[in-house]
Amino acid sequence: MTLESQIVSLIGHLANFVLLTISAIMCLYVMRHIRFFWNRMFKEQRRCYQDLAGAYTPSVSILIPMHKEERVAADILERFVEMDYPKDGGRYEVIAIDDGSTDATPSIVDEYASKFPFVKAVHRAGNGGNGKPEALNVGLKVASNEIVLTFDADYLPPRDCVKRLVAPFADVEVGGVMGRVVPVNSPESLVTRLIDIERAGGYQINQQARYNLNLIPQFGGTVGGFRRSVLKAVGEFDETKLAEDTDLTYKLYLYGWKVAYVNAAECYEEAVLSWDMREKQLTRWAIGHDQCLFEYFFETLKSPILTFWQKVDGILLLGVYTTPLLILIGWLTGLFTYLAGAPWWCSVFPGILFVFAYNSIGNFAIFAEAGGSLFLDQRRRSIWLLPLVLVNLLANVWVCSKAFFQAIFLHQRGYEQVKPPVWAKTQKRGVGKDNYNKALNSFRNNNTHRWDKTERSGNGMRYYNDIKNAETKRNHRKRG
Amino acid sequence: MHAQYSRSLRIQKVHFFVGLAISLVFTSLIAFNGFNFWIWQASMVDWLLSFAGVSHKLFISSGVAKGPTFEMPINFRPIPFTTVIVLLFVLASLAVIVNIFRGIPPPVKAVSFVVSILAILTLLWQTMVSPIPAYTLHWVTLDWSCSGVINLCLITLIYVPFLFTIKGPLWVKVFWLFVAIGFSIVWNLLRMSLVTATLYYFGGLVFLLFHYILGAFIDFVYIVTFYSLALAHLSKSEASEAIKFDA
Amino acid sequence: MLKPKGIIGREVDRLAIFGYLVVLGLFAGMIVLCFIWGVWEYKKPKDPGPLFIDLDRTIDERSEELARIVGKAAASEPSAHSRKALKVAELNEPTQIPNIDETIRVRGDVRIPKGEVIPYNMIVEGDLTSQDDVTFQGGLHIKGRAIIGARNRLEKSIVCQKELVLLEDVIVYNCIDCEGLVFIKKGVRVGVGVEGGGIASARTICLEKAEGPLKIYSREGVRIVGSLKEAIPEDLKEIIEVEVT
Repeated sequence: MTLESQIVSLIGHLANFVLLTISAIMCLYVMRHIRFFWNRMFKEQRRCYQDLAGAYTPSVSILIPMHKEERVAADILERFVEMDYPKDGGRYEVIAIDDGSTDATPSIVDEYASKFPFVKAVHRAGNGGNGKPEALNVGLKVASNEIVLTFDADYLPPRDCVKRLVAPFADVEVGGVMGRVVPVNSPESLVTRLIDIERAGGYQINQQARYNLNLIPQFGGTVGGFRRSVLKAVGEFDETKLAEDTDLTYKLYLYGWKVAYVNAAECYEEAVLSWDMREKQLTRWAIGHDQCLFEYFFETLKSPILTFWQKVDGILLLGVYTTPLLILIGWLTGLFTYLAGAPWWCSVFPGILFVFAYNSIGNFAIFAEAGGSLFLDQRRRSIWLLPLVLVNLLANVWVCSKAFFQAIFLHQRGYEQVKPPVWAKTQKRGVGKDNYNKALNSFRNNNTHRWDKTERSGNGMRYYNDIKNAETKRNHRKRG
Repeated sequence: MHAQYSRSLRIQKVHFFVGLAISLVFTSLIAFNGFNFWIWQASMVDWLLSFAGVSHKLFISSGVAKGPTFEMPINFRPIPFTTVIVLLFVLASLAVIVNIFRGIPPPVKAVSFVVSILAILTLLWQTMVSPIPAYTLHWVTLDWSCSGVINLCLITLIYVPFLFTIKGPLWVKVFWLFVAIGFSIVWNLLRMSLVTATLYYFGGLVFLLFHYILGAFIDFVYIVTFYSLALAHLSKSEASEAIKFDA
Repeated sequence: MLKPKGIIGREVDRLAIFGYLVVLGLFAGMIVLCFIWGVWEYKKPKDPGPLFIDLDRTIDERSEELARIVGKAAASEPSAHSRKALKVAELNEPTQIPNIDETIRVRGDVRIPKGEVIPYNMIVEGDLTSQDDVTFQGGLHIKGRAIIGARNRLEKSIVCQKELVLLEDVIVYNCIDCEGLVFIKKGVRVGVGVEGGGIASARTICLEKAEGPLKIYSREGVRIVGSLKEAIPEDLKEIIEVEVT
């Protein structure tokens, strides 16, 4: 055997090993999603304290960070003014945090604050704002109640949303709560329709099943809440993380609290409209999630508090934004197996190859999850869009693969040390954190901007009125 | 009140076992009649290749492991080195440009990038690792891994737990299962014919790429399509029936 | 010997290439067929969404539901439960995971002696038994069974994953949420705090007598009995007699 052929053979073996490892990991995700599908579709659903919703009404503060939200600010503030919740005695306060807005947002916020005593306006000066986590931390200083809920400015909650979200806090073990997000502008473009399907699968099936199975449902940073004392205990919102919600979720669980997922607390959001915006949003989520992967992987494994299955789910959840990269590597290394033929030891794992043979793009279970959720929601024709979810999957492969390397870069910068001059004693100059923040801000400014700004169309109420009229007509037809 | 947030469905056990039985019968049929199926497939591909103007000879192997083989006369010449360099440069540039240009949607970027890299790797493989010498005859064997037999078993394996368990008429589920199986058979015949004819007309590089992409990437798309159509059909039936409300 | 034919460097038979293009077209058509349904729904949507959420919806009052549940449950029996005797271990030092601020987590069973004041929130990974006149200033989450002694004050809520017994004159300022059977003796008051509250159970709730308006929700039904002695299972009766009274 020549040296060249030996090298090729070695590369071939390595490629096959990588391929089998990736297939094994993807099999774990397949089984996870199958488990979630079965649990949500056929098993008894956890009650999530909704029987107490309305009966238990603790004091609550609602934070709404805003940056240039003139198109939607009035809508969301109006929703919270009309919220069905006792507003007496300071038990209900809405804190609108205007973070350096240069449009009409400050005046809208001031207008509501002047009309309603339970609405407070917080204005932060600053060129372009400083980002959502910082805005939330400022809002927390102003909030006076123990239970804090957070909503993004483009959300439209129903009147019972707050009652449903606070009910789980009757349980002392619950540190955080999360509701269901539903895109209101799904008719707007292909992107919004695909996101609608993705959200349906992610919340109706995935989050609910994780809650049913006592795994790790995720706090999503909006249509959600937490206890102030718990947040203070675990260290407030980490402003260096691009996904502070994932970060908080893991902190809560590692410290012994739980996150309750309330499927009944549905709330409309405005999904991003274009592929460009989708790419920016997904990049931020992926990098933020990967930051949490680097930080919490071993902590999750070693935790004395989490159960075995929580650890398994926790690890798989941390790695969820790396699976598109694994798929991409699988495609490329699969080529070696195809060109060079599988070595003899691959036949030991026929099941994995069997799965991979059809599984190369992703796993069918994701499509089944999305389809199951649409079935439960009785969105019959939307189920036809399932094959187009492939387009979303391809987008994820591209964006998340890039994001993983960007996350590694950020992670490395965070640990950079400056070498001291040879004549000085070894001493940390403490600039590692500065370098990290520079890299983070540079990334934010160039890519996602300091605020993960998704352009709002402000058409939320219009779409809501359309669907409400359609629903009214349908009900008339049924009765008639 | 059937609130979408709290309801769950009653699992259709009878339908599940019917589906399982269909799946087992089907898998057994394929397992015990695999060779006959191969021969039938090969004869169909043979006909399609003739239609596509491909000169060929079909050899039915007596050994199951080898499978039916097509012998084709191909006057293959290796790609000149300068052409390889130019192609590599073009493909690499495409991969880079696609990444830089913001106007391209991410799904298109993903496909362009992946196809470019696969093409580069295949070209390098053909040129440096396993250069195919000039020859006049080439053989294409339809072995078990590319014959589409796996997909036939997989379709039943997937549809039984994800479709047959859901409330709705049994005939709808059985109908869509067999539509998917029928589609799969036709799909595989066309795929194998197309790939083999591509080798004849365009040579080894395009053949390798075509075969890998069409085989590994696209193959499962129709499984999702028919699953979604079946689920939508079931949803229509289910909408008019009372369901178990689990609050 | 077959005559070489093909595209590379040779003449092409037009009819042959037409055949190839037909096969290619058919296969491409099948790929298009896979996506056409989705494109059809996207271009001519019948269900573009969004999922309908009535933004004006509120939570119904439960009082009507209580009457309905009571009426329904009059003939029903509590669900079957284990008759295995439960041994409550008395721990000198409950095992603790490092507590954060006001919440402590205890592994094992906990027995609170008479008159104690517990200033923390407690998560008990076992059973909880409290004797008379205990005050819990924090919330409780019990993974096992809970027996709350007479005249106990629970200044927040109690969540219990198995059976829950509240003896005479217990006051719960906020909520009771229980996955198992709930037995409530006379004089118990629930939801008296400013934040309100109620009782929710996944199983049956047996009430001896309740004071004041109560918001009760039970999946299986509510039984109002003359005396809880007829409803409480034997093993729980033993524990109450031995550990609590």
